[in-house]
Amino acid sequence: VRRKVAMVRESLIAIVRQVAIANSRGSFDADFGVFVDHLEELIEPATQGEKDTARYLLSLMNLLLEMRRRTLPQPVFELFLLNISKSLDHPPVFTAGLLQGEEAVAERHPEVRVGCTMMRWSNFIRHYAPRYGKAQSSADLEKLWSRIEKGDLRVPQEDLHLTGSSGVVWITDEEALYAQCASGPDRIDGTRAYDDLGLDWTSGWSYVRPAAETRAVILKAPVSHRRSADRGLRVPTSVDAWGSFGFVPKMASPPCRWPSNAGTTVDPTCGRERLPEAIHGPHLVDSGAECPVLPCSPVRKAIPDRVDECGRMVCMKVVRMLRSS
Amino acid sequence: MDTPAVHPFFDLELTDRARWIAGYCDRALSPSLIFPILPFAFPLLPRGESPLTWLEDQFRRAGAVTAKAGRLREAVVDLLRRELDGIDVNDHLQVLGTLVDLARVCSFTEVGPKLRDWIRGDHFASAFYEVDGHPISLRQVLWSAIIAWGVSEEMRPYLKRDLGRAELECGELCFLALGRLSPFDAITEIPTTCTWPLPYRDEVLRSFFEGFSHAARTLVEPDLLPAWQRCFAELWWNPEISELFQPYMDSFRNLLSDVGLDICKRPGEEKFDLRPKERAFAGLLIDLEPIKRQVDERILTYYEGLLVGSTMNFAGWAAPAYGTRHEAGY
Repeated sequence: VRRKVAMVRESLIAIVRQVAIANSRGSFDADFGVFVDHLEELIEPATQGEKDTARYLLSLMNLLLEMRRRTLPQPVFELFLLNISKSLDHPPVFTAGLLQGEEAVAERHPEVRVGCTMMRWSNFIRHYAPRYGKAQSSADLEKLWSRIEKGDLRVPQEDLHLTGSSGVVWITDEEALYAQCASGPDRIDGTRAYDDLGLDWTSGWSYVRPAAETRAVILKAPVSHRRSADRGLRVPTSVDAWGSFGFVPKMASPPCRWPSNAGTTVDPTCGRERLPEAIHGPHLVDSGAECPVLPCSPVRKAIPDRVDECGRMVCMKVVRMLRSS
Repeated sequence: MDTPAVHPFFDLELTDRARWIAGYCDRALSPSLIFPILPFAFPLLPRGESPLTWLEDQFRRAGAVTAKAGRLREAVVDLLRRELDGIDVNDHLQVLGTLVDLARVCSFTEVGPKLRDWIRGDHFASAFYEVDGHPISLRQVLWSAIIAWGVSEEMRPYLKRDLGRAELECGELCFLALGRLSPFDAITEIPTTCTWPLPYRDEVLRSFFEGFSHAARTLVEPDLLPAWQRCFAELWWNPEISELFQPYMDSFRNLLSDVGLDICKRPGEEKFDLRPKERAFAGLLIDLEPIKRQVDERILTYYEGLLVGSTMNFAGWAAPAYGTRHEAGY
C-alpha cells in the first residue's frame, strides 16, 4: 500500500508538472493531449494489476484535462478531489478554480519568510566564484569556502539563481530551517536537509557521476511578499512554470517527511506575476536584498534535480512495469 | 555486467572524436553530427549534469584507469585551436564555451596561447553560453582559465581594459589578477568597483587588501602615492562615482583597518592620511590639491557635457571624460 501511495504521489507530481508546463507555454490542450496519448500507448500492454494503477493515473490526468476544459460538473470534480485527498492522507487538495486559471488569493501569512535554494558546491562555484574574483584554482576555492563558513559571503538579489536546475528550492522561515536541518549553530546538515526536504535517496536512479559526498550551500533570500494560493494545491509538492519544485503548507498529521511550514518557489528578480495560470503566484525576494550563503556539511550523495528525477522516475517505472509484464 | 570505465567514443579516430565531442556539447544536435551506431550514441544526462561535467568525469576516469585521457585532450585542444573550423554545429558559442570550460577544469594548458589571442583581439566580447540554463559570459571563462594558469605581464593592458566593462562580467577576476601583477594599477582602478554589486565589491576588495595583510606598509610606499591620489580624487570628486561610494565609506575604512591601515581626512583640507597601524609615523599623505585643478576641469567638462549634450549637438564634441573612465588619462 505504501508503495502504491508513493507511486501515486510521485505520479501526481509528474502530472502537475505537465499541467504547469503546458499552462505556462499557453498550449495546454496540445501538449497535455500528447502526454496523455503517449501514456495511453504505454499502458496498453500492461497486466491487469498494473493496468489498474496506470489507469488510475490516466484517469487523474483525464480529470485534469476535463476540468481544464470545464466539461466536468463541478460537484463531481470536488468529490473526486476529496477522494484523492483521503487516499493521500492530506487535507483538501486542489481548488478547481486555480487550475482553471483563476487568480491566486494571497494567503493570510504576513510573516517574513525566506526563500532557500540548496545548491551543489560545483554549481555554486561555476556560477558565482568568478564574480568574487576567484579563478577556480583550488586555493581560491578553499578561500571562498572558508568565507562561506565564516558566514561572510552574500549574493546580490539580481544574481540569485533560485530556479532552474541549479538546486532545490523551497520557502520556509528561519526557525523552521534551522529546526529542520541544522547540525550546529549556523550550520546545515546537508544530507539531513536534502532528505528531510524531498524524495527518498533510494530512488534507483543511477547517476552519471556517483559521488560519495559533495559540499553544498544554501542561498537564503528574504521573502516578504507572499502570494500563494489559499487552499491551493495541498499535495506534498507542487511545481511551477519554471519547472522548480515547491512545497505548500500541510497538516502536521500524519507525520511524514515533507517539510512543515513550507511554501512555493521564488522568482528573485521579477516583480510581475509570471504565472497567471499556474498553480501559485510567485513569492518575491525583497528588492535590493543581499542573500546570505550558508554552508552545508558534506552531503553524502550527489544531489540530483528532484523535479526531473521525479518525472523521469515515474516514466521509467511505468515503462519498466509495462516491459516486465 | 561491469560498466565500462570510459565511453567508446575514446576509440574513434581524431576527426570523428572531435566531431563527437563538438556534437555532444552542442545545444541541439546537428544532423551531420549524429552517431547512430549504438556504442557511440550520445549518453543521456540527468538534469543538473551537463556535457561539460560528463566529459570532465570521462577525462578523470580515462586518466585513472586506462590512460586514455590524452585522446580527449588531443581532440579538445584540436577543436579549440581550429575554433571548430570544419565542424558543423548549431550553436557555435555554446560548444566553444563548453570546450573552453572543459579545458580550464582539466588544465589543457596547450590552448593558453589561443585563449590569450582571443582576449587580445577582443573576440567574443558579447558572447554567452549556458550552464544549467544560466548564461555565462565567454570572456569570463577565458579569463578564468588564463588567470588560473598564471597571468603574465603582457596581459596587463587587457586586464585593465576588461575590468571596467560590466557586460563582460569578469571585472572582479581582472581586478584581483591585476592586483597581483601591479598593485599600483589595482589601486587606481578601485573607483571602478563602485558600480559592482556590493557583495562582490566587498569580497574582491577584501581579497585584494588581504594579500597585503602581513605587509600593510607596502601599500603606503611612496611609489603608490600617485595611485592613491587618483583613486581618492575619483572617489571624492567624480560625480558618477562619489555618490555610489559615500555610503560605502565606512565599510572601506573598516576594510583598510582589517589589513592594518588607518585612513583619515584632515579637516578643512583635501588631504588624507594613510598610515599602517604598527608604524604610524611611516604613513602616506595623500594630497589631492595638485590634481584638483585637473579634476575641476573634468568636472566642468562633465557638467557641460550633460548640458550641451542634452540640448545641442556640437560637431566633434568629445564624450565627457568622467563618463568614460578608461579614456580619461590624468
